[in-house]
Amino acid sequence: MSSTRSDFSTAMVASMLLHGGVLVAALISWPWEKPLTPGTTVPVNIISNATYTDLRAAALAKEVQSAMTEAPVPDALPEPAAPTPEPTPPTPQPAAAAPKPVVDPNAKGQQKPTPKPQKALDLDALSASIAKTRPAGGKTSSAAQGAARPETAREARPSAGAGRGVSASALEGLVSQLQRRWNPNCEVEGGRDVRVRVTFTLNTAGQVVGLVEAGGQENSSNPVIRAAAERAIRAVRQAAAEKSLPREVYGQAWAPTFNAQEACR
Amino acid sequence: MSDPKEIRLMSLKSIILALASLVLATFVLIAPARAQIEVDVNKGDVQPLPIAVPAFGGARGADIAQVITANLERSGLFAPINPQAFIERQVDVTVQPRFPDWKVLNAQALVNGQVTVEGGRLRVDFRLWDIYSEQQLLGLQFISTPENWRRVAHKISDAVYERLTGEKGYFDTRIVFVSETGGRLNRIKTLAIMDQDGANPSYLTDGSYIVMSPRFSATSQEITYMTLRPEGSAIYLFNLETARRESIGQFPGMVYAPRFSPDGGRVAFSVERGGNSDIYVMNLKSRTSARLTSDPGIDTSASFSPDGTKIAFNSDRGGSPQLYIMNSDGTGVRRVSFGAGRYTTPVWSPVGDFIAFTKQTGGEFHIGVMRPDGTDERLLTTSYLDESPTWAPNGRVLMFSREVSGGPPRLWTVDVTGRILRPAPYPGSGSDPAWSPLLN
Repeated sequence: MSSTRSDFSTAMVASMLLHGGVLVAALISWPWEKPLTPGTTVPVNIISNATYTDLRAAALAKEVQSAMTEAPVPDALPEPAAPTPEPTPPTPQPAAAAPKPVVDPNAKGQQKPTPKPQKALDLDALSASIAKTRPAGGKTSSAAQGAARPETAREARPSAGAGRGVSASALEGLVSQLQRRWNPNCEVEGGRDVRVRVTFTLNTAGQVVGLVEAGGQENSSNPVIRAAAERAIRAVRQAAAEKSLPREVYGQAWAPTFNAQEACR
Repeated sequence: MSDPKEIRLMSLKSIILALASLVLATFVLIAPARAQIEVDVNKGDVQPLPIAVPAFGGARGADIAQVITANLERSGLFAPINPQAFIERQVDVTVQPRFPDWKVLNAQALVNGQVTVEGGRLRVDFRLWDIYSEQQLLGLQFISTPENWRRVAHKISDAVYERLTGEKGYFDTRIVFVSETGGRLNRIKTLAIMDQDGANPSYLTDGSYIVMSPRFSATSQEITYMTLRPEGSAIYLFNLETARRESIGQFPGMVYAPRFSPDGGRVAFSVERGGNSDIYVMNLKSRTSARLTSDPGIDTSASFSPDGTKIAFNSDRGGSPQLYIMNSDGTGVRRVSFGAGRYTTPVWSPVGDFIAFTKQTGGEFHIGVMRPDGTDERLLTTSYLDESPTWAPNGRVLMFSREVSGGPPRLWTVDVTGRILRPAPYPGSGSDPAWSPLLN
């Protein structure tokens, strides 16, 4: 019996270690350096800036220039502090196309969207889609929505069973640190309308465990939303990397909502 | 010897316990993710994004980095970090940067690259990195000729700008404008062109006659402008690729204020005759023209909507110059500006969301924008004389000419929020700018 118990215990420990190890490995981002290879090359033709320098001769050849309306001063010098463009000698250049970017297969999310094949309009599917995505009462943001937010700057809304025990000052410290590092995209059209809910977990040492995600907004096909999500994620990562967050918020899972509409006022 | 039944039973127990431990371990690991604490972040540090652009490797590498740096800085949305502060100075484009070295500098993004010249061709590889996510955001390669390195730098600037802001860039563009030299009484107005950063300026006319209101076609290879000579005014089309120039025809009266339709197939312009000024549009293929307005007031400064179906213009038919919109066939005229002052030179944004204009009120001039329905009017600038706004192709930046009392006109830029106002990078005197679309 005792030998049987020993075998049983070994199997259980080995199994736990094995499965635990696999899970931990999946959550760790390994710092190994990956060799990066440039993308393939697509030769393109070139347009030359010099095509614009062959214009005076053509202009003069076309017509005889007449007198100015106001007495012109030949060879008027440009103002000393304000150099004017110098006509360059005519250098005829063949016209050609401009350089074009070549997509690097290593690059993430850089490829231009390829035009999708046009489908026949499915009115049923369309109306079903509208019914599903547009609740009565008006427009909704594609951003993840939190609970109702007061007019005041910040409020913590701990969900069931977690976050209890985090003091108000710690929450305020967390929000303050995120605010300091969040650079919202206020100057860009649409950038001030984006709400980004970021989720991340801090371990007991204050390090980010696993992914910092923005509910898929970081992969949005809308480049303004994607850029806004990346900026919010960057704020979280920077605050964590600088160990600037209050210790009390360590070991918790967080979901800050970055509200550009408020921040860009 | 153990009983085989007992062994099987124990094996089964082992499997059950192992599975239970796996479930327990999984639960322990994912438990925090299910119990997230929600907080709202309603303030931010609204500052230009700190970005590092170290010199690219290879010939012209430092020059390309400088052009990119200047472009990004001038946009007002980026704060390039002083290269003197860089810890990692040579950033190999084939390996990941040393992120801690850039985090120390508070860089949010890094642009590095390598220039290679082989067989008379210039190849530029560059990468854009997110410092805190330690991820590559972009990796592109451009091929050109060595003398075209500035355009490559502009294209890289556009790519970086778009990736980090979500909006199209506007750096690989050109400006045509009227270069002004001489005194006020003997001013020489010459048609000129330059890159948007002031580089490669050159004249398109010789200054022997007055040139006004140059405008780019949507193709960017053709411009239209007005000339003024003692014998009268004329409107020309000028193909920048072929240097071919042609008049759009003879008109009784003075013709002025030409502007292309978005497809480049039509030109709208004004004809003044006997104190009355009306808007016409010419089909450039058939060379037929149609009169769009016929009221006794001064109707001018026609500007097409991006879809070509509407035209914004200014008219004093209501007593003072105000902005109006009509269908492109001249029907459906409606007034959209109702503020105090004089509204002139409406220019529809290339993305259609705003109409820029010049407003004169209280002895001052402003560049402003409003929605096409006349709402959300914002005055972006104020000075002794601001006029002639033109849109960058992304519809977020305007260039205009500014004149201070007694001084020559200069070119300035302002963003659509009015926060980023600065002189254009052209040191000479210039007016009447027109921004090209993005080059191909």
